Formats: sequence, structure tokens, C-alpha cells
Amino acid sequence: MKRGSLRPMKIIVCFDDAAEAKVLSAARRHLKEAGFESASTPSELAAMGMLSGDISAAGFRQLQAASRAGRLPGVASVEADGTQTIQGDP
Amino acid sequence: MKTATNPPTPPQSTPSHLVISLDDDTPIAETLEGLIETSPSATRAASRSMQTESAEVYRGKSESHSEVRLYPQFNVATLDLTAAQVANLRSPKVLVVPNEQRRILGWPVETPHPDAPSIAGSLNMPPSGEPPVQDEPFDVDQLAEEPFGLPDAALLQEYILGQKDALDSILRRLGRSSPPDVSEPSIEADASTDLEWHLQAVGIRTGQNFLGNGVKVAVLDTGLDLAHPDFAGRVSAANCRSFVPGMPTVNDGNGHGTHCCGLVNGPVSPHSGRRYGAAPGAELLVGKVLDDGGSGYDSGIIASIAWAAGAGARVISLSLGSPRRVGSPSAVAYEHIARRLARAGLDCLLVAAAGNESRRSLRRLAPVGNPAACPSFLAVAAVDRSRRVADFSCAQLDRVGTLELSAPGVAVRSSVPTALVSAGADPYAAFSGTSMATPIVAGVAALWRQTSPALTSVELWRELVRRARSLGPRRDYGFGMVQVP
Repeated sequence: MKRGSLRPMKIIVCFDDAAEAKVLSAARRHLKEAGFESASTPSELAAMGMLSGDISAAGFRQLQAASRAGRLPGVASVEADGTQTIQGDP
Repeated sequence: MKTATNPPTPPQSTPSHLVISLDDDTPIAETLEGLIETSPSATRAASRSMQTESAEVYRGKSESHSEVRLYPQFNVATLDLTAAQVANLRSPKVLVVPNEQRRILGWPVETPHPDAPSIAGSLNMPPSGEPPVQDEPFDVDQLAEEPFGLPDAALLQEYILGQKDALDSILRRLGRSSPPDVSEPSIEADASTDLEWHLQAVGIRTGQNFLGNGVKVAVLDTGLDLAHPDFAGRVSAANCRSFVPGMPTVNDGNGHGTHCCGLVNGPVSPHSGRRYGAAPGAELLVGKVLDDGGSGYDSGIIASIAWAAGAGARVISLSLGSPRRVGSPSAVAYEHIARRLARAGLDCLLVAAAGNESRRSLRRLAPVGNPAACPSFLAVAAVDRSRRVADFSCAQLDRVGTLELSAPGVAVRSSVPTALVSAGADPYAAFSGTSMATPIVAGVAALWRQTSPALTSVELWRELVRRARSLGPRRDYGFGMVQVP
């Protein structure tokens, strides 16, 4: 494992809104097993089928690879919780 | 309808107006139903006025029985109209442009499209680059001294731009692009108006009776100075929410958010200076999603979008973003929330800043950033007082990051927090950025929401784009300058 890969990072997980509750429950369990902590998710985000929280960089890469390969049923995407900045003065 | 084949005949006189049907499915003859005879004139058959396109000549039903020329290929007609007829004809689907006072035109197209002269000629418009058709030059001093009967500067400007719209419409029908990067009259300080230049640029007029009343608009930014003299008592606590960890209030310690809020919702009569808010009557929702350093996480921003939509916002303004490489995808999570809101029946228009990463003076263009690049977000470019694209404004460089609209974004005056100005100074400042263009578009969208409340966001998007005033290449300007209803 590369140096620094355990450093926590913030991510956003989007669930597939067409998935059945059973599938979503399994997806959440899988995320937790990968080390994802979603305690910081705002309620508005959760209501829209999304979670935000912390995970190790290695855990993020694994989850993202699994999601993109279709090996995470019920999960539409796993992305870094990036930052946005103002687009004008000051 | 028939097309006759007789030899060309010159128009009998200069028609007063051009009428352009913007709906390709509605023939121009249908648009003019009731104003013209039902079949072409028996004595004046059609002429072949340019290349392969022919005109159909009708007689008008008005008292003058003036000649009406139809150009079905372009869905355009030239004819004499009374003021009442103009008012009746004008609609979102019909553009009516005056065809008089050609003497005042220094034709606005500096770089003529190679085909512009022939097209303009066919419509009795002055060919690009040629001197005005009639007599003496326009005398600004004379205009200023004339108390009645002559157009004011704003009307004059509207006339010139209207002519340009007409040409653009025809060029589009011919499958050709607009003339690139046109030069248009700069919007200078005008002592006779109480509007800042950026409001004049989008067509707002003093005394306009639609101010965005009844429309909720959310500004998701660095917050708002609730004690600002222009906002004190105007924004309810229930409409304010912070999504920045550790910052429980929407207090704006940066200035950017207060500036953006002002551009949407600054009052009709500010504490000082001219009106600068596009939709003073709108109900403002303030989401603090960026800290006082001007930065914030996607999770907070997306949560605030959901909050604002749930609180009834019909327009959401996002003067924030991050750079994107050419060809790289748009932000998945933002598109996800946009589609979730649509499925939930929360119909709101999402407006976002295209980004400031270009350096056009150094021949560097950057693509539209995120979240503006998301398909469900309307991306806004910035232009200056001369309606030229701002040096920094991001461009449409791939199929992902499309540009939709332009709005003023260079040296735009609005409110700033009182705590950030020196004691005794008025709390206003001029900022630049696509950040400034974005809330202007959001404010204009609120005006549309008020005047056309039945429009869905998709329909509103289309209407804003369709009614935009073309400024130049889509790469730089999108479909052009946003316009009020």
C-alpha cells in the first residue's frame, strides 16, 4: 500500500434510486465494511439518496473501481467530495 | 400558397418593419393572417431578389394597401405596420423589427459575414460595411436636444440590436453561423437612467412592472450581510441556512455572496446609487455553502440545492465551480441531484457560472468547469460593457461543457458587506467574474417566472436561450445575452 493511502478523504455516494430497499441496504453494508463513515451526511442529501462522509484513500479507490465495474449493486456512483470556489472577485 | 416566377421588381417603397417567425413550424404567411390578402397580388407577382430565394408579393389589408413581401425560405416578411399591429404581432414566436431610420445605422457588424450583403440587401437592410442608405449621419447632439419624437439612446440601441437579431435569425436559417464577435454600442453611463449598465444590457427598463414578485430565488454562495441597508428586514430567517461546518449563520465574511444576492435581489431604490438588482420583487433564499475564504465542499452545496428546491426555489444561482479539463466528464453528483429533484417534482432552474480560467488576451481558452458543465445546469459566460466576452470567461471547448447564455460580468456594481468597507463608505463595489453574470441570469429567469408562471424549467431554459440576443460564436457566448421577457 502506498504511503498516505490511509489518509481519510471525503466522498459522495449516490445510490441508484430505482434499486429495491433490500439492495440499498446491502450496498450500505458493503460501504461500511469498506470503512466508509457517513455520519456527516446532511439530512437533505440523505433524502435525495446520497451520502457524504469519510473513507481512506485506498477504500475510496476500491469502492470507485467496484462501482464503475458494476460490482456494487444499488450504488450509482462513488466520487470524491470535491471543493468548489467562488468565480469572481474578491 | 404559390410562388410566381415573374422577373424581379423593386419594392414600391421602404417597408416599415421586418417580421420574423421564430417558429419554423409556423409559415410566415400564417403569422400574418388577417394582415394580408389570402393570395399573392394578381398584378405584382413575386420577384427573385437574391440567388435562389424568391419573394412572394402580397397586398396588405391595411388602408394603404401597401406591398407585403414574404420570404418563405427564411420565414420573414417586409411590410408596413401600425403600432397597434406591431403590438398584436409581437409574441415569443414572432420578432418584429423596425425597418426605418436606416440613416442612423453604422451597421454594427465590423467583420462582415461573406454572405451578409446579399441577405441584408434582399430585406432592404443596409449591407454590411456599407454606408447608410440615406443621407446625413446620425447626430447625437441633435438627438439630445430634441425634446420629442426621437428615440432615446436605449431605444436606438435596441433598434440596432434588433436589426442584428434579424440578420442572425436569417443566417441561422441558412445554416450559417452568426458573424463572429460583433462590435455593438458600449453601454455607457447615462444620467437619464436609474439603472446600472448590467440591467440595461439585459433589457430591464425603469418602471417595468415585473420585478420577480412571487418567485423564490436561491443564491448559494458565501452568504449575505443581513444588516446591509438594502437587505435589512427583507430576508426572513427561515430563508437562510448555512451548510458550512462550524458556521451556524449565513453571515458573509467574504463579500462575494452579498454581491451575488444583490445582483439577484437588490431593491428598486437602493440605499445609494442606481438600481442593481435584476429581480427586486423576488423572495430571496440564502444558502451559505462556501466559507469566508470562498471555498466549500460538494456535499454541502448539493445538500443546499436540495434544501432550496424543497423550500420552493424556482431558480437557483450558483456562482461557484471548479476547473475541468477538455473532454473530462461533468460532475456526477450534481447531475444526480438535478435529476432527483426533477423526479421529485421540484421544478427549479439551475444556473451556474461557466468559470474564469480563460486568459483570452494570452490566447488561452479553458473549458466550462463544473458544475456548469452538467447537462442540467445552465452555464453562463461573462461579457463586458461592450458586450464582448470577458478575458477570463470559460469557453465551450467540448461536447460536455456547453455554454448557454451570456450576461454582464466585468466591473458589475452590487452590494458588499458593510463590515468590509471603510467606515462611512457606501457598501457597494464593482466585481468581475462569471460569478456576477450568473445571478443576473438568475434574476432575469425570475422575471420570466413571474410573467410566464406556467413554464416548466425545461421550457424556461428553452425560452431564455431562444430569446437571447446573439452576440457571437456559441463557443464564447452561448446563445447570447440573456433578455427579460
